[in-house]
Amino acid sequence: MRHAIRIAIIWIVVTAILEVLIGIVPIPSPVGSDEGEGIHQTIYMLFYLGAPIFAFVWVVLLYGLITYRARDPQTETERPPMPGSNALILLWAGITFLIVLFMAGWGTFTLHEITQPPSVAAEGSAASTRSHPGATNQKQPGGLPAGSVYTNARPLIVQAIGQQWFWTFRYPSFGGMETKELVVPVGVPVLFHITSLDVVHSFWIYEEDVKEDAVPGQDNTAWMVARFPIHTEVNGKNSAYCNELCGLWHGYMVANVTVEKYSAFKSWATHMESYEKSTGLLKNLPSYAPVYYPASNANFPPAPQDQSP
Amino acid sequence: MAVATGVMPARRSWLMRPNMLWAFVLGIAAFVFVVWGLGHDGGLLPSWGLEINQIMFLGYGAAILFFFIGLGVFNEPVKWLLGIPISEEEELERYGAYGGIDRYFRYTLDHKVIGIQYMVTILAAFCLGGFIAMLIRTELLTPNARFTDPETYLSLVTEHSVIMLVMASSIIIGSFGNYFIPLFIGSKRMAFPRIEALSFWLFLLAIVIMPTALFFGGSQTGWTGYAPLADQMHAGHDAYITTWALAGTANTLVGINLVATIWLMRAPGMTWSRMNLTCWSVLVGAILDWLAMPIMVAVQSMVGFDRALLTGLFVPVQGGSAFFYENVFWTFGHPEVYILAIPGMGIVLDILPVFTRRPIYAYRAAVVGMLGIGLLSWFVWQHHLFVSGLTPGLRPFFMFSTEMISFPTGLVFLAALGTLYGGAIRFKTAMLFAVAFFPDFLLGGFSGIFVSDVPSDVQLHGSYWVQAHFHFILMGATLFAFFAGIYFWFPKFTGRRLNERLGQVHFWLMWIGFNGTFITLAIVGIMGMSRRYATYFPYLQGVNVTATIFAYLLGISIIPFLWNFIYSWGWGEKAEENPYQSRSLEWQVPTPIPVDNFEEIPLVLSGPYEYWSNQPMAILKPSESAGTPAAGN
Repeated sequence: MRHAIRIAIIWIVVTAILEVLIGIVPIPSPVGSDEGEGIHQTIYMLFYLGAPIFAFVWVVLLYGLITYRARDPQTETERPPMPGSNALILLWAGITFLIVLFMAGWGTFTLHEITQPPSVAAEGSAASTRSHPGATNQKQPGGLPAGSVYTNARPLIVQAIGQQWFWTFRYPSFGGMETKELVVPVGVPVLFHITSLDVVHSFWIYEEDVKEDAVPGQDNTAWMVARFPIHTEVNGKNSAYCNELCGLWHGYMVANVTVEKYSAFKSWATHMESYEKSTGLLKNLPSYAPVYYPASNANFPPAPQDQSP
Repeated sequence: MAVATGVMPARRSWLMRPNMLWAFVLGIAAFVFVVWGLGHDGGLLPSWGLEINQIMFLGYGAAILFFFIGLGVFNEPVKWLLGIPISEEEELERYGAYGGIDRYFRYTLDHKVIGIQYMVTILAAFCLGGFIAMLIRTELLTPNARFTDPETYLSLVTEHSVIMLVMASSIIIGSFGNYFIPLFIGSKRMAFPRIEALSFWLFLLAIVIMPTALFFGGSQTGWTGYAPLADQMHAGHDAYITTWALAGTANTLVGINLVATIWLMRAPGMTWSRMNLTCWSVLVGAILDWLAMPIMVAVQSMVGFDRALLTGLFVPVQGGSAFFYENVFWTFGHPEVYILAIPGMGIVLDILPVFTRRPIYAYRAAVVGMLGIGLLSWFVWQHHLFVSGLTPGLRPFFMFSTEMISFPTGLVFLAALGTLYGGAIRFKTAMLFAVAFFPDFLLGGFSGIFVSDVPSDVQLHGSYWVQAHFHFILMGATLFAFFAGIYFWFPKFTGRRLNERLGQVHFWLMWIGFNGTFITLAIVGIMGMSRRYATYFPYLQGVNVTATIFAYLLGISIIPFLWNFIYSWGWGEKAEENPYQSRSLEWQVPTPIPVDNFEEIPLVLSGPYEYWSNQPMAILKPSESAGTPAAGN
């Protein structure tokens, strides 16, 4: 009993210290996006929940080691067994089970929350992580009028295409234009369709808590609602990078990310679209599709004309 | 087994008998002959229009075949087939009856020789893999790729991870499992000695073949070898495939052999509930080995077909599927983790009672715990694919099944803590390593929860957090259990003791270096550093430099151990036969252990942990003590 009280006191003290120390864990703050809220809450919850468990095992272990060390190893003899207690085993197992149940329950609810963007929830499972090629229940984005005005009720669809070793972003609502940097508006749900042309990549924007693998032949989705403007040039770590080993220049597969006001985004997007139209780029791109296979989507330009004077 | 009691026949000179030297000479010669001969125009052989990957596989195949010819693996089967009598000399030598150091360099069928062969090979592989880890950490001192170029860096990452994982797949099952299981259960031998010996040499080849990748451009896939990328790799990736095919086969064979041995070869009175916990843990590990490893052999063979025969199984353009590879790979990959971890639990739970002088607490709960982890390990693999395109509806299930693993693991912790309380704890080095298993494993489990809960996994997946997490398990738990086993059983292997003081220095350097390195790396993960980057954003440099310094400390810690290990083996202080007054059966046989282990099959009377009991665990010579009450079941 004496030991139990001592262990309890030490445990409470150590737990209190650990809970305070969680504050210095370098989790980015403030949260950059709406769906990141649930992710950050989960990380903090696990730290706060884990600290007392962690402290408990450490305190019990160290206390036992110190208290029951053999004072004189030469003369110490066999000790009787600790009385077996089914109640203790059941209690121990029961508590573990409850903790597991709580964590899994929390995870399930939070997962539901962060995979259902509020504004597109009405479209059913549109925001689910995986939609099979060909069976996508997303509105065919190519059919939307170019540059249609978005409200919060409808997400901006951006396709992130991984390729050794760079990202390409396609904006189906802006004529299917392609860019090398990602520009998205603040406060508008952005639905990413992520795919790959060659090997498995993974699309990660650290500050916005977006991560989804880019698997060739597969259309994965993720969404985000950015909370404040960000420019990669200002804050170097805010980039989209590849998180799954994809070969030689994996570490260099980084794209700039800009999050800006809707009006600025809109003027950038329309400018880019008309620029790509004027250079003939849009015409030569394969039409927008959930996934791309080099053979089937090849869109060959016409033969060059004789331009000699 | 034929063990001569009279005059042993004289032997031919060592050079004339099949041994490791001839095996390597023939193996390397065959490899060079095929690869160089076929790979060059105007070489020794016509090129027949073969492509490089086909040549590589032919080369490795020839190397393996001729390695085994040089080793004399086929001698007896061929003689049996042709009806040629096998000389007594050959037979005695196969079973290690002559003793001497040279039996360690031959195809010896004695399980004790094979255990030592495994242990020394594993230590060598660990030092090689650890040295590569030091190179990796050196590269990560600066945000730019200065020390190596990205290609070399990724090749080194692959070498490190594959060597370490192949090594760790056998780390405890191969060394202590092979050495001690027959001793634990009171058997004179393994169920399948020839398969057991074969498994070691396959394992050695796997370890030796992996570094040859560096001569052929290396492999830049990491240990996962994700498929469309693997299809693109240099010829070096064929070494990766061959390594896993060999290691997978070896582990499957080990698994079959150990399951059969533990199931069928127990001495009279050795009931299931009297087995050492190491036996239980090795049994669980062996079942997983036997069932999971063939999956890896199959999936790597499919990548091999892709590369050599252009089957396009994993190339989306050709109708293959990248996601399929990930699924099959992790169906193997997660049981694999417990192939590494569970035997470690058994070893530390075996060591705790000896140094606390009291029975293990909640033996049955610990057994249930280990069996439960083994069972659950089959239902969690998709937690590696939470952000890879997994069906969304399945994610909560895999989150729950993964977190459920902490339930049986908790029982193992309970057994350990219950054993310590009220004991008389003696802090030998073996005990320190065994105790350190628990805080390390706790860190591993704690960090694992973060990546098993889907919302937090979205942010931490593929970051250094994951890397720290599995090092906590594989290094902090498994490797510490391995060292605990070496310090504990060294007197039984060699008849000598390891130096205690050097052992303590080794422990503290290693423990501090290990925790410093990987706690720091977990923090780097939270800060957003992705795995397998030769470069990183400059704001991460401070933490990375800290991790590298701790990693160097970790690297240095192996030096006192190696010195201790080599010096003590040759010239260390002599140990008595049972220096820790253990009750367990393996300490009751004389040192050095006779070829047949026990003169007679012992009669087991009680369990190995009943320290308060005056009854010995077993009667070693039942025929001399007739009239003793038989063991009650």
